[in-house]
Amino acid sequence: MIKIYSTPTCPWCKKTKEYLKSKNIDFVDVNVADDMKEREEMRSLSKQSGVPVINIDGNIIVGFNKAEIDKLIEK
Amino acid sequence: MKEEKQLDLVIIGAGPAGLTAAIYAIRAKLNTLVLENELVGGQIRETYTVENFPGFNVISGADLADKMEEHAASIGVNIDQFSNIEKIKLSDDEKIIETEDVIYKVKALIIATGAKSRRLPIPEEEKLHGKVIHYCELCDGALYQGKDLVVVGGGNSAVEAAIFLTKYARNITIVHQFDYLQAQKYSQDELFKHKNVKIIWDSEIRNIVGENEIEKIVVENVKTKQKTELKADGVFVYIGYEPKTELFKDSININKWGYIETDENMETNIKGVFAAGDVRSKLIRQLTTAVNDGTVAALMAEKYIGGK
Repeated sequence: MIKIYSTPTCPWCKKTKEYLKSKNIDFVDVNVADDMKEREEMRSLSKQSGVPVINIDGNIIVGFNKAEIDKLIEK
Repeated sequence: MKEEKQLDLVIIGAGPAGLTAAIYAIRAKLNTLVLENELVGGQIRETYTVENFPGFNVISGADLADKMEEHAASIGVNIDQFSNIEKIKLSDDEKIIETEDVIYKVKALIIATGAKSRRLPIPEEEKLHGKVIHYCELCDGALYQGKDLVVVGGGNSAVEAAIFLTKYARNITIVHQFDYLQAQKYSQDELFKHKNVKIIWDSEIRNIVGENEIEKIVVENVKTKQKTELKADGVFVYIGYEPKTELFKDSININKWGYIETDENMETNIKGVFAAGDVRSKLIRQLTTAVNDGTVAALMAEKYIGGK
């Protein structure tokens, strides 16, 4: 499963989601500005507090990193 | 084998300069493609509010970027948002831009890559980047609800960011290297309405101590050399920009700060290669001057292609 930890005003979060949509890949989007439980999960998984964080089957990518995303979704 | 495509014009960068150039180019019926591997809208996409673009008293950076993007899309501007440029070959006779998948052979090129935020020059930047050091208040500001923040810088970006962050932060301390703010007076007035903002003048951050959280921030007064310590939960940095000219530095004339040199018609040292916006060597870098550059570059590119 792919999960994106994002905030509503973050342009890189939007770009990340648009990229996954362009590849027809489903994902779950969680808003860490409001959801404290998801925010803590993001912090503990990524060891940082910047968004977006992309969780692809437990592999964590911080920020929009196309090469990393491609590598993981092609698996 | 990569696909090969012939085009009239490629514009690298979809900020205000690149989008303006694209709008003019499409209206001139040039077969045009815009390449943008970061954010369509450029730096304004990450700007809280814009208050100096004619026609809009106040508009959020994201809304203005959306409007520009929609305008461009509505007249048929094609933006490739996800490809990276791997190689570039530029001469008076030949312009080749190679992405992961396609080789573009073009008659003219407009470079509108803009500039990116300068990193905070401290030894701990890399270690703490994203953890407690941030550059995008719109992205990461909401995560500091009720916390104490430091904003570094005193220009328009710093002051606008500080104003935005007052929505979340308990207290904001601005650390600024001068004894005055360079931000426009109007923004300064807005900033000073907020009682939870204070400014440490003539000072720079030397160290941020901590692993995942900030233990302390070491600040040095640049005049007295006296060091003091600060406590905060996060640091947002706005200390200027550096041009994105890595791809072109071997073929195009660049000044010692990395900005592209052009003549007043935006043309570089290579015929048919133009530069527009913040990437260009000039004194004033504003949204309005980017739009100006984009206009001139596109119209001169049209002239150049027509005369070939």
